Amino acid sequence: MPVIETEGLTKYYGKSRGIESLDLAVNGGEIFGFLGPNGAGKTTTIRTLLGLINPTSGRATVFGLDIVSDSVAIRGRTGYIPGDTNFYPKMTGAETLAYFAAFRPKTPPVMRDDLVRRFDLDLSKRCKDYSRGNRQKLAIVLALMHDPDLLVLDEPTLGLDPIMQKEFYDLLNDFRHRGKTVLLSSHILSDVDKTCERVGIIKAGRLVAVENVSELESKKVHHISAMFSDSFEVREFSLPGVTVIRHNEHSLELKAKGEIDPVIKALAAHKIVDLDFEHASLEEVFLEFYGEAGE
Amino acid sequence: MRFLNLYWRTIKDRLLSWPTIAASVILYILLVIGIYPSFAGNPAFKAILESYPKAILSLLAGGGGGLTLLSPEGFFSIEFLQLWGMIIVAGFIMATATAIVAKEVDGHTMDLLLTQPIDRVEYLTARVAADLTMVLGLVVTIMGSAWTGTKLFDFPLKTDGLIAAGVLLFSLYVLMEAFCLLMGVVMERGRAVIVSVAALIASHLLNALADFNKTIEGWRWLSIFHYYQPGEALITGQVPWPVVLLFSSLAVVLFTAAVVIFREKDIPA
Repeated sequence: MPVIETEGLTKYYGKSRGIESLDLAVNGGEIFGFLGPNGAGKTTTIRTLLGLINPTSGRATVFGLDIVSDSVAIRGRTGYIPGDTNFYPKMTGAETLAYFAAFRPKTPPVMRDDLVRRFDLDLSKRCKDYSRGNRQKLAIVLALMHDPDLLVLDEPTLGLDPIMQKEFYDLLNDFRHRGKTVLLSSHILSDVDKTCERVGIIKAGRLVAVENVSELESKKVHHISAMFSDSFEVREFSLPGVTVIRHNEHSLELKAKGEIDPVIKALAAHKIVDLDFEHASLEEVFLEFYGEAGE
Repeated sequence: MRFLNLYWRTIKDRLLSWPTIAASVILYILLVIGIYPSFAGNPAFKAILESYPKAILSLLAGGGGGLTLLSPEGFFSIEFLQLWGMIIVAGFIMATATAIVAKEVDGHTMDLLLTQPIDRVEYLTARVAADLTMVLGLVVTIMGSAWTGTKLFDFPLKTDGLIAAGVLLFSLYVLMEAFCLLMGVVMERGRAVIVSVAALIASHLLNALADFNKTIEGWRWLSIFHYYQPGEALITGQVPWPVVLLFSSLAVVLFTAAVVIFREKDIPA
């Protein structure tokens, strides 16, 4: 049975669209990625599920409970990490955790100390003195300390340094292995690559696809720039999924979609002086594969 | 547990502002009561007062009918219960009641609160209960200071008059709390404060100017100060229950409206 299930979930802010007829199912024990460009409706979906905003139409359940009438019970079993959290500036980290822990008397903050240690968080500071990264760590501790059954994450690694990002994704994997469920919203493809089994892709308020991450991997777009000491023929790079963007006698810029092994082999046939290799932005992937679906 | 957590947090948040206001109230009341005997029997002061235009006296008394600054009840009512007490405590109420929703929404801390297992009605009730506890404390401080003043200086006010005026004052503050809460639910905090201040001033002016203009007089019933006459309560020692009931009923209506709107309110990201 899905932990999260939406049917025709729609939210309009006046005349402007938030999400439209969203049908989504997140199974128990999985980390489900929720991908889409900024403004696609990811945050609206999450805030609707958490009862922060009211749906215009459609219905949704979490743990089989209705998100409107049973919102308090749902939130009692859910942890939420937004992309940027504002705390009460005069409270210390410790006071903040104690204040929010008191709202859940039946589920003590069993993971609090372990999380604080893991994220190396100084709880004696006032929240106004925390850097953005430390505010994010405090938000992570706050969301996870009660060991909730469901984690809802909206761009959770913004502000975290790479070491803490890794720590966070390790934590998510531990969480999943204990049978818990995660809904991870992000517009950063690499965030999703590391952790999710399945992803839902949202564009212009509509869910345009639900994919296994391995399928999405094969759809990745790469930008490659190479400089050679020798000359080359452009036709050497006339490969499936490859588009040459520009070239001259010694340099080449191309876009490769899907399998990149043939491209690497073609490049390796020449003496390479310099090479740039980067993933295309998620937005490009969308434009490449879902350009028409969400229009 | 959740109710008490919100309640005590709200009290804690006011631990700096409340004692400051309470101390100001005590000092100001003792000061005005202390200086009263020096001019109460002074014929020169009486002559100056009688030389004032009727409109000015009415404005000072908030359309308070036959009250005069020369009686202890009139002086305390006009000087404090209808003027400075209104300004100081109403300021506290406007600042705190509009903050209950608007400040949390504007500061994005409402996200944190409402993703906890807190019911929105419980949230409003706990926060309002805490604020009203502090307002009740201020009313007790006001009346207690006045009672102390009557013992220290030549300022004869009846104890039952102080209690009756205190009940009336508290009911008015409850109404203000509900109005400011509603403003804080429907608009951002800066606007909510401005609208609350404007409503209070408009209500005062409507009542005060009604004595001089037939058209305005027809609308006087809209002013809360038309009903709020603490001087009479100080003199008679009788709680004006119909007025207390009117203020309380209006407060319940406004609070209910705040609850209904807040339950449907989308919390912006």
